[in-house]
Amino acid sequence: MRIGVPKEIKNHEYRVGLPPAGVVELVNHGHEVMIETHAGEGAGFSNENYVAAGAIIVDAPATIFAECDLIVKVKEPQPDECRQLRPGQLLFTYLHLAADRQQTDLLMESGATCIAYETVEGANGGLPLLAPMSEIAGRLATQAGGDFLKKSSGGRGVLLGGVPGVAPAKVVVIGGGCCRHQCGACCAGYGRARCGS
Amino acid sequence: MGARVVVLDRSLDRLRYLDDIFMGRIETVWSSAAALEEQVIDADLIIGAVLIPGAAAPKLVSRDLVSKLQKGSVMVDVAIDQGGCFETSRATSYQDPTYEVDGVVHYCVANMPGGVARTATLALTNATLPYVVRLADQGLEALRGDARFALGLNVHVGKLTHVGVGEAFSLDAVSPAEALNS
Repeated sequence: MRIGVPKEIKNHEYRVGLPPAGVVELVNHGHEVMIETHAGEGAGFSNENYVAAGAIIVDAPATIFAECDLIVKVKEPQPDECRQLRPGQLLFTYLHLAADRQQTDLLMESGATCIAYETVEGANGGLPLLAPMSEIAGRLATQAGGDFLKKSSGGRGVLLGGVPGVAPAKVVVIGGGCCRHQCGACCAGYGRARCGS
Repeated sequence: MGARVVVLDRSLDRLRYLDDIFMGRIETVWSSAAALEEQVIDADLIIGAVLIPGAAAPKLVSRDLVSKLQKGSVMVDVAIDQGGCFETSRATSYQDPTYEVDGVVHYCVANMPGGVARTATLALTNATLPYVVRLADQGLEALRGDARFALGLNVHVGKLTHVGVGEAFSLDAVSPAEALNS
């Protein structure tokens, strides 16, 4: 099969669907991998890294959408990307369709097969392809929240952990969402369990 | 970080588990509407982390409740990808991550992990690669042979195949198995 990875185009999105190590794995299975030029740069993977792994670098995302059987991405396809999908093609990425009617309509019109990371279930339940990003979002939520609590950022001017003699901030984590352990863990100072992609 | 942390949830099993692993370092509260209001009203930081897989997130903090919160408190909506769990949430980006409603800072960046791209790429692809390899090796057979993997199918040849998405837009959805075998 020919697998293609376009460069992510969502605002400030620097992740990439496959690292060079993933390319090696697919090539070893007899597949061909096309990577859009500079697709991995934001995550620290150069074109040279991908070529060394056995990928073909292409200049235009249109080439990937036209020639690949399986498109692997990170974020939901933007309207331009949706319109390039076609019947018989597989798309594997985060979709989050319930929050995006336009994308839902465009994907239905494309005729493609669209598989969302966030709803795949693992052998023992759970959401194995959402969990890693939930873990990260949970930790970042605390970090960002603490940062914006600074007066200069519009916040109350409260330090999350307080200091001896001054009460710490009160943090409320709401939800049966999966990042709660992570946020709670981080705020309480454990730095350790998981929403958001 | 040593903050005072209160976790609200509707699953007693989960609250029990959290109480266990944090050994009393965090407070757990069963999430009724009244308990939620009581807890958030004097909070400095509110993290919304509600998830119903694939479906739109429920709005647990209303516009009215936001108006009663402390000025300068911060709300982070981690469920923003699924539409957000605060009524006042709208997606933002790293370029302009926050906005205020009644003096309450809202942080609703839709792709938070993208900011730590290297860590996030490695963490994500550690999980996705085995699935990518199966799709590449077997195509649609990889889904037909694994009902849990097939739950990932959201759209197939023009048909919606996820109930939660169908419910969000009042559209008909068929099961992944039905779509794959027709």
